[in-house]
Parts: sequence; structure tokens; C-alpha cells
Amino acid sequence: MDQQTYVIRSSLPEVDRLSKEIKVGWDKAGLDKDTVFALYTALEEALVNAVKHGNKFDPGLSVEVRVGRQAGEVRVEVKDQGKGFDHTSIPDPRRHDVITKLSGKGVFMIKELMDEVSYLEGGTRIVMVKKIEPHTV
Amino acid sequence: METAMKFEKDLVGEVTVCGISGEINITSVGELRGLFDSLVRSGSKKVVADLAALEYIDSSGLAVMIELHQRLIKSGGVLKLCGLNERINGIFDVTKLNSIFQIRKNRETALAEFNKA
Repeated sequence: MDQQTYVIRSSLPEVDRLSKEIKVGWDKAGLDKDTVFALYTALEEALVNAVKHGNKFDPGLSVEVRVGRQAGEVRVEVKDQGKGFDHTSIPDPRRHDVITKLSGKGVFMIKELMDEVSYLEGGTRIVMVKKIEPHTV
Repeated sequence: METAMKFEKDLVGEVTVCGISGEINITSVGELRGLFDSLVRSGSKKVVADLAALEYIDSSGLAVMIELHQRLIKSGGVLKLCGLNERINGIFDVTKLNSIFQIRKNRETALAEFNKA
């Protein structure tokens, strides 16, 4: 698997910079626009969660990102240094009583955009997989 | 910090038309919130958000759209979204926010509805 690892500080400008850098790679790899849209959106959501909710914007804590590509899939891992969380505790944002809440949609969006999502290490690590056409790689 | 979002505002009769292009994400959402705040404070009651040139929206972007929607409703106003491309429309669809917002095909359709009312 072709894999790259990145480490960023817990800052939103860094999230933006890295998301865009990785997206450029996906565009250059010839992934179709729908796939890049899903990957970029999910990556940015996961990074924001890691920085904001995981690391609480602590400048002393970092976020590690691993992006891998092999025939048939793109795999993205985001790991923060926070205390972890239970992703199943977040209510379905489509519920009538919370649909207009201003928070709580990011995790759901990741799960909808990606084909496989796993939360590991107490919720400090998210692994996201998007299936792609094998000949794309 | 430069963001990848562009905002244009136009007045068509009584309707404020906002064209938002690029990305509404965690780094641009603060700026957009400020622009929407000015819009509401200035008394705009009929607002069309034209998203035809919008390429990405994250959950913070959805939140700022919900905020505008709720503030307008509270002040007796109406917000219509228009021009969503298939991917952006897909986001509103999976989150069921298409049941909250009035989403129209294009600016002309949205404006025509305001003029009819």
C-alpha cells in the first residue's frame, strides 16, 4: 500500500492546510470528483473533531494522519492525543428534536460519506475507508 | 487568514440574494456568520442563498446555514437555498436538512416564489 503520514499541531489553519494538501494528491491521482468530495469532507470533519474535541486545541498535542491507497480503496486514519470519546453516544442528527441543533452532525456525515468507519483506541483514532475503482490507482 | 469562500450580495426588489462560492468550512464559517449577522441586523426578511458555485460544505457550514434560517424565521423572514449541485444536495439529503430548508433549483425559481407571495 502506498501510504503517507502527516503530523499537525492542534490548530484549525493546520487542519485546513493539510486537508487541502491531501486533496490535491487525490485529485492528481485521478480519483473521480464524487470520491474526492467524500474523502475531503470526511477527512476535514475528522481532523476538526481531533483538534477541537480530542485535543481541545491544546497546542502541546498533535494529530497524526495516515493516508493510504491500494487497489480498490483509499484508507484514511486520524489519531488525536485526547481522552477519547464514545461515537455511539452522539444522537442521530436527523432526529426531529435535534435536527436543527448546531452541533453533532460531523460524525454522522463521516459515516454517510465513507464506506467503512471504525473508532479505535477509545475513540482517539478513526479509520475511514472509501472504495474506489481498482484501475484508478 | 484567506479562506476559499467568496460571498456576493445583491438586492433584487425586496429580496437579498447572497451568492456563496467555494467552501463553507471551519475556516470560512466565522466570516460567513458575520456576513449573515449584518444581513439580519439590516432587516433583510427575504433571503436567497445561491449555492450554485459552492463546492464543499462541512458540518460547521451546515450549522451557520441553520443559524441564518432560524434567525430569519424568528424575525418573520424566509430563507430559500438554490442551485445546490448534486454533491452538496446529497449532504442536505442525508442529513435530512432538505426537510428544514426550502431548496429550489435556481435563483430565478426562488425569486419568482418570493414575488408571487
